[in-house]
Amino acid sequence: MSALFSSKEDTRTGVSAFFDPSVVARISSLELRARHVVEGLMSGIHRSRARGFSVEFEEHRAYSPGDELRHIDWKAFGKFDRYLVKQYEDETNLRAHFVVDASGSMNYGEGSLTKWGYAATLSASLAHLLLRQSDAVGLMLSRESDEQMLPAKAVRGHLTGILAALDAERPSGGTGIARSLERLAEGLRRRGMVIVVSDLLDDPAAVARGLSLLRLKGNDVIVFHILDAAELEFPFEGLARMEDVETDRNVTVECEVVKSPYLGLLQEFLDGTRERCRSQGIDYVLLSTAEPLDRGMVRFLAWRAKAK
Amino acid sequence: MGFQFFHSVLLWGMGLVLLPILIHLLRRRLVRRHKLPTFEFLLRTQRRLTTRSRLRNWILLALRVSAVSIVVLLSARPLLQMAGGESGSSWSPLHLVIVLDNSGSMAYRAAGETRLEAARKAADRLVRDLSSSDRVTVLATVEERVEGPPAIQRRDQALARLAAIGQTDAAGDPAQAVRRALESLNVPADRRTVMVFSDFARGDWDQVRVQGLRRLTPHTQLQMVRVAPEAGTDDVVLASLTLRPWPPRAGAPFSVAARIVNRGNTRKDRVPVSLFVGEERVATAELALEPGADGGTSFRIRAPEKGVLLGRVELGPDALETTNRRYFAASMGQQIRALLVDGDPQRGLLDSDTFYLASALRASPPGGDSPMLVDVVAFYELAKVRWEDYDFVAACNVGQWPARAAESLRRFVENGGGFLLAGGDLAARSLPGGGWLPAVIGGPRPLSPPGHPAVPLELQDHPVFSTLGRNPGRFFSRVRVGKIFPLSPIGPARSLLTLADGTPLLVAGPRGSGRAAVWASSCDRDWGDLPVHPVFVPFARGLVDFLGGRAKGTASMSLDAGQPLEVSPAAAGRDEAVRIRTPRGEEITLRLESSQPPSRPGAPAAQERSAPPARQGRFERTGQAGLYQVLFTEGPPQILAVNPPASEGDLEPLSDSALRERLPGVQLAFSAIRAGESNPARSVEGRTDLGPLLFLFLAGLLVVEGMLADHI
Repeated sequence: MSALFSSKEDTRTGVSAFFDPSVVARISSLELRARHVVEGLMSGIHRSRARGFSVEFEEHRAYSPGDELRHIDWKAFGKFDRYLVKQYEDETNLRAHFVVDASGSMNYGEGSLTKWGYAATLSASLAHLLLRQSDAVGLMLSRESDEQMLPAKAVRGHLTGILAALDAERPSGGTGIARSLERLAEGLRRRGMVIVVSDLLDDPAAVARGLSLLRLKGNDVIVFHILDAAELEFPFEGLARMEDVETDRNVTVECEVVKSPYLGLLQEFLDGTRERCRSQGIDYVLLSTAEPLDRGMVRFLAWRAKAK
Repeated sequence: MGFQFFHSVLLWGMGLVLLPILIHLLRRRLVRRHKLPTFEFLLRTQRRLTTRSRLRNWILLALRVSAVSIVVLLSARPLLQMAGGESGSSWSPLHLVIVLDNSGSMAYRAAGETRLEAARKAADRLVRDLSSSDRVTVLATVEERVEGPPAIQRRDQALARLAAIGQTDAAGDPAQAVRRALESLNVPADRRTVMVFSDFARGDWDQVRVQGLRRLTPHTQLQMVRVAPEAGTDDVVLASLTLRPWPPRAGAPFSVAARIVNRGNTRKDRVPVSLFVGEERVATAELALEPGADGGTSFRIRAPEKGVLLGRVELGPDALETTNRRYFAASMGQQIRALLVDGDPQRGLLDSDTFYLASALRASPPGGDSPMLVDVVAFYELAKVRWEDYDFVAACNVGQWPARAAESLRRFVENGGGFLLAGGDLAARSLPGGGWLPAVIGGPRPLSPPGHPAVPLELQDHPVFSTLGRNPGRFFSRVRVGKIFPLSPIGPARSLLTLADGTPLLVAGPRGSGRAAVWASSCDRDWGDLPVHPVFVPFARGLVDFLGGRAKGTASMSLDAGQPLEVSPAAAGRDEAVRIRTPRGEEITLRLESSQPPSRPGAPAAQERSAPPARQGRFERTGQAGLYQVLFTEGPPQILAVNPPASEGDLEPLSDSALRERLPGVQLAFSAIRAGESNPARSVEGRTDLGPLLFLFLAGLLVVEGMLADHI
């Protein structure tokens, strides 16, 4: 795989349009977008379908709302008078949970794609890819005050639900990514993969704590840090009134004056986040919405191969 | 120290300083709005930068406002008024006009130098400090009149001119000097300064009124520099001399009375007063004078038998020498010898033609004798007359002329005598020859109604009317003339009196070395009533003086220093030039100009050729008090006593406000220099052009602004 990805420049030359955010942005349907991206990716790499599922029974666990009724062990109910659900070892290749930030700050975009659009497309594409490989995929949409949770499933039809949830989401309000990560860590029963797609504009310490909890539970975690090109480069000029997207706060600045210190602070933030992720064995990928979407996916596949 | 502006109206442009402020405010209003999710970082950045950024913005705003202000100030051309004269940096050349008061009062001495010397020293220093591109005009309050605008000179020429201005005893004409200074400002120059160095003594400046100064622009500064005001006004003045009898009679006692005024603030116990005749002190007296009081003393001497009496009265030395002496001069002149020819001796005394004229000429002034010796003869005695015994002959109603008498009379006139032909019924029968009289005489003609004599406007100051003051015609307005000979002037002859319609009544003109006149009416009351009017006496004596005056002595002439000395045609005769000897012994030649009036159309050319024009001249260099002599080619010199005007003793200076009233419409600057100051120019307020300084400051400002604006 490494050889494959080492030649990504070559592969991208022919299919770059598949990942160009400006091209992707013109596709209104998220499903089509995901398929578009994945097809593009697949046309550029050697197909390698992963197989070999295990369906060995491992244990029972108590039924909890959300579990499918068909998984209830009725025999055990007759014996113990309790609803128990069968657990199988290696039920799937992978259980992946997407944590996608749906705060107001994700709705920002100066270019062709907003951060939300970029994050949703990336998430959808990866989910599509994983489901094609019969991995179970779950989704948590992180909002200011709550989360929308779709449990991980490996059925093909589950993609529709994921895409619908992403499609229907309208990012707004403040960020709650740190809290969402903690909740996810509390709710996950089994080790798996957690894919965080967010701009991480929350309390860095809280975010780090959430990620740490996920890691402590044995999850493999990859963070896709999505930022807009304008946030990364601060291309503004002259006197400007800058407004916060999540609050009513604003400040008038001389752009040329604040640019350098701003970029310094931002870099400090990025470096800190990257360092915290590295120290916890978390893969960290900084993505600009101006970058082709395949970069994130390739990075994911590389990480995935490493994790196996 | 203060500011002035060349173009003060441009200071309204100072409103432009609002421009950067408006731009600053508008820019704040027109800011673009951007949303930014990473706002928190920006906020933290801004918090860190706010203080510095605000400070920088305020400094930039201040710099820009200052830059606009300086540009406006540069346009208005500010001048800093400060001590130190006219030196200093400037954009453009300076035209400096120096008016030096060299009137008598400037001779006031303090700290070892006169006020004029102190003023000259300051002016000299100012001129030396000027740059080579600057120009200077130097004027004096007492100087000869020069046509055209004053000369504009380079520095070295101006220094020479300054050195040449001498102290005079005359009253200055500061108004004229200021006017000429302003005339000289018509040359193009950005900076123009008129500096008047004077004591501003009331005697010279009280009557000054210079109007029309409103045309002065702020380019022009009129600066009044008081010279040695600390020296005060302590002075004893010889105010006047009274000489009696005047003119003095040869060999007779003669008194000289002097009036002396103490203008100082201290009592003068012993003021020595001396009388000099020639260079010999002949009498001395002492006076005690309270401050502000005046007193007098009188000397009595005997006039010489002949020749000229020259003398002076002199006070002891004090701060102002100018007012310490007064001169007098008198020649023991001969009396005019007049011969009156009676054409009708049969008539009674009071009806005689000669009675009125003889009475008028014999009248003597109070305390003196008549200046004329009058003889009366009948017409038939003319053959026995020794013409050389007389200076003047009058023929009153003479109708018969003995053989050769008329010819002798003509020669008498051509040899310098004076002749008057007066009318009358007898005179109509015969005339003393034809062709040499100044007028063609017609037959007698009655006037109905009677006419009144009038003096032509251009002859109001003719010597004949010299004793009648201005507008002599008013004395003749009630005189009635009932019968005349019609007269037609010939050649250079002029009608000295006419009727209202211009008909000549008295025609006079030169003949050879003498003068002849024809009076169209009679000398008695037959043809008019002139002999019984008061004007008859001064008129008759003026006429005789004029016609026969060549022989009369110079009783006295006195002028105020600075007044022009007129050399009259009567005195000059046919001289083309005279020499004038000044009190310093210099002899200056004065060219005389023809006083001939334009010839009349139709006048016989022969007549014009036979009467060479008389000449006159005007000598203006009488600034020095003393005795001046006018030396003619023939005859005795004319001697004039030139004295300082009494006004020069009034040293009290005019205040600043009083001077401002006298020079309205212009802002005057005042400064003062002290007597004996080593560098008096340092005390003179000058103007420094702030343009170069402001320009440098603006350049620096823009550099700082540029650096600060780029430093983001």
